[in-house]
Amino acid sequence: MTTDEQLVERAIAGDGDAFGEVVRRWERKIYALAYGFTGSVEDARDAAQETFVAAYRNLQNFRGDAKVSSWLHRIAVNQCITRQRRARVRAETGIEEAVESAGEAFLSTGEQSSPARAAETKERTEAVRRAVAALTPELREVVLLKEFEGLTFQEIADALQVPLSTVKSRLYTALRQLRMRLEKFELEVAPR
Amino acid sequence: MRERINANGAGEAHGCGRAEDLLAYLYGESEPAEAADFRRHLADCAACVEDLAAFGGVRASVGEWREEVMRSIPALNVAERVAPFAVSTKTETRAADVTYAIESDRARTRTRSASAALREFFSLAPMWLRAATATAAVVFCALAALTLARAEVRWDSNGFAFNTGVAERVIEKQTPSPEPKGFTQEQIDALIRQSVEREVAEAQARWRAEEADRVNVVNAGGVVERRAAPSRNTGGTAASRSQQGPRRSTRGGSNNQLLAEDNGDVFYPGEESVPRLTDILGAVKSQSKENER
Repeated sequence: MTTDEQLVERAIAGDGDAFGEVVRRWERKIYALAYGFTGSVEDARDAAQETFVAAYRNLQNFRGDAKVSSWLHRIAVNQCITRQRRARVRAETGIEEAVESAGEAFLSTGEQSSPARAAETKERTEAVRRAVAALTPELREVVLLKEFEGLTFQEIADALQVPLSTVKSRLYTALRQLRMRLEKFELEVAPR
Repeated sequence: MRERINANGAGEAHGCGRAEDLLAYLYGESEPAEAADFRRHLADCAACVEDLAAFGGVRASVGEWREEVMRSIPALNVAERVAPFAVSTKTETRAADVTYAIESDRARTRTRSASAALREFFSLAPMWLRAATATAAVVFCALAALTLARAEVRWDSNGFAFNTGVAERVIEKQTPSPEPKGFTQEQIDALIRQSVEREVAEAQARWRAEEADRVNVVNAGGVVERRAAPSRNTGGTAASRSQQGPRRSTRGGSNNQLLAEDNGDVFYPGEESVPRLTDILGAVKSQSKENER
């Protein structure tokens, strides 16, 4: 099977189909990462598309010694952070509610086995989504790259261009904060 | 691998200081020897055991959310949108094409942004504004429905016509007339002709009456002037005037016509045989002078 790095090399050499294959391999993962980061279907779709556009524009700058996955994730995270800044401005004008409702609507479209289980799952996933959204961008990107994308610590460090120890410390902090928020949610739900 | 966790205050929450080993163990990234060593550590460290269990729960919850997200990913078609443009040769041109394609795609989804903006407006608006907007919308819809229900669209030889039905309702209350409205060109010409003939006949009758009056005046008081005194105005005698009759008549006719036109009166050819008023006055004056003498 052709590796991502080989595909990118072919794309740089002028093989248009090669870059299309890279996009096909990664579009869902990049979208999921973007959705986890922004909490909005529209923003996630736009961020995913812009990630690949930015990647295509910078094909010539791709370093052969780096991994394509790290490269794409770095671009995606930067896209998300940019969007997050815009979202912060929008939140000040009251659009955050629309984003919240969009996220809820998006999660409600999943198939569920039974109404009771569906409601329970929806509540829990919504709690997780809110807990992740409450993290700072630095903590959130590490969690999403680890949990959504399954990158190794080293890949995350490469993608974010930060030291390995920083990745671990951020992830540890993020997990502790998520734990506290989810336990609080469990306590709120338990008496029902 | 034994880096201390101290950024963002993470390390200080973990008592034993093996948070990095815990993370590596949790995510399966520790070497076999390191994993064995950490397992032995767990037997003596309640904090690490507690963290490991709690973080496992967090990971499960996040994983559940991730599954939900992955199940619900909409059709992206990013590859289909990007790949065709990647076939061309120049990178800058291709990137511009891709950007254009994505902008077009975003324009298609912009309707949702508009609806989000509308929701935002209503969420921010006070209650009275929401009620007023809702009432206005209902009234507008009702009026529009009424208008459309009574609307009549017609396209015939007279062209396209759109009638809302309001004017039609008023016409229905009037007594319908079987006769066609308006006149034809022939009818208008006939009416004008009749009117003109009637006016001419009346004018002629009036002229005849006036002529008869003037003849009576001349006969009553001024027969003398025909045979007597010279007229001041004409500067000649009645005889000489009679001699010049035909010529003067013609010239006098044209003079009278000009004079009449100047005075705003109308002079008619039938009046040529009527004596001039100045002549009559001159005759009357000369006679009165003779009488005084």
